[in-house]
Amino acid sequence: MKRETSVQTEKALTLILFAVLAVSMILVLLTGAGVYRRLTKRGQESFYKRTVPLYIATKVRQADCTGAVTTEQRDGMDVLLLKEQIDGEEYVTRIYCYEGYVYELFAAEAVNFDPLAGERIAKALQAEFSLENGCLYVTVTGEDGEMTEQRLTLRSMVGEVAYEE
Amino acid sequence: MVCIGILLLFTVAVSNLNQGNREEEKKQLEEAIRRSVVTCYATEGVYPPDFAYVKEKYGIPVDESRYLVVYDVFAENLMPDITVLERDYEKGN
Repeated sequence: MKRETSVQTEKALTLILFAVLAVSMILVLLTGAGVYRRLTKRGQESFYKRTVPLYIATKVRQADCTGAVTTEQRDGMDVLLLKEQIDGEEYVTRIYCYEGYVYELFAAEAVNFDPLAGERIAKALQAEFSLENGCLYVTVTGEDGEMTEQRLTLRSMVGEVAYEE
Repeated sequence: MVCIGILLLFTVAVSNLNQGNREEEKKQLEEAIRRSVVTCYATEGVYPPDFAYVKEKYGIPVDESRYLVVYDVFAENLMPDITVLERDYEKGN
């Protein structure tokens, strides 16, 4: 009788130990997953807050010459247009936000604008562009709803603004 | 019979999970490559000339036995066309 009780107690203890081990493993996995999620989120935030605005700024700076940087409204979305001339023909790079992505589309100016023809740059909810007093104002709303704003002074328009004033 | 049924259900569930994981991995890989390419342009002023540059400078790990990355460059100041394809093991591709 005593021997049976002892065997049963051993079995119970073994099961309890196994359960403790299983719970510990699950806790470690959950903690690790949480840490990974936070790290990934921080990386994504950094990308949307810094890299995407820097990408737009680089694009604008490379195209910044008289009359090259303009904005327009198309089907309810803001489009940034960067014009250039290649071998006598007018080309335009369009940057816009469509169906959850910022797109970049390079095409001849005469070609019809198809938002889906562009290359995806980054995920975003919205991108707004406006030109005022020689400055380009850019607002990008990331996936998480956070907005990043930047103001770019266009060197090509500095002279125009000074003249108007 | 019940055991076989449970085992079958478990096998189907695991298979669906694997399929979902593969799709998600492919999406994540494409996003990671795209982010690196955009970061390169934002910091260096030009897009990477080829995918080897992206792998080397931006540390993108790609399991080449499972995925094929198509990196189509048009010009150094235009976003390349990036497509990630999963290799078909059964057909040996």
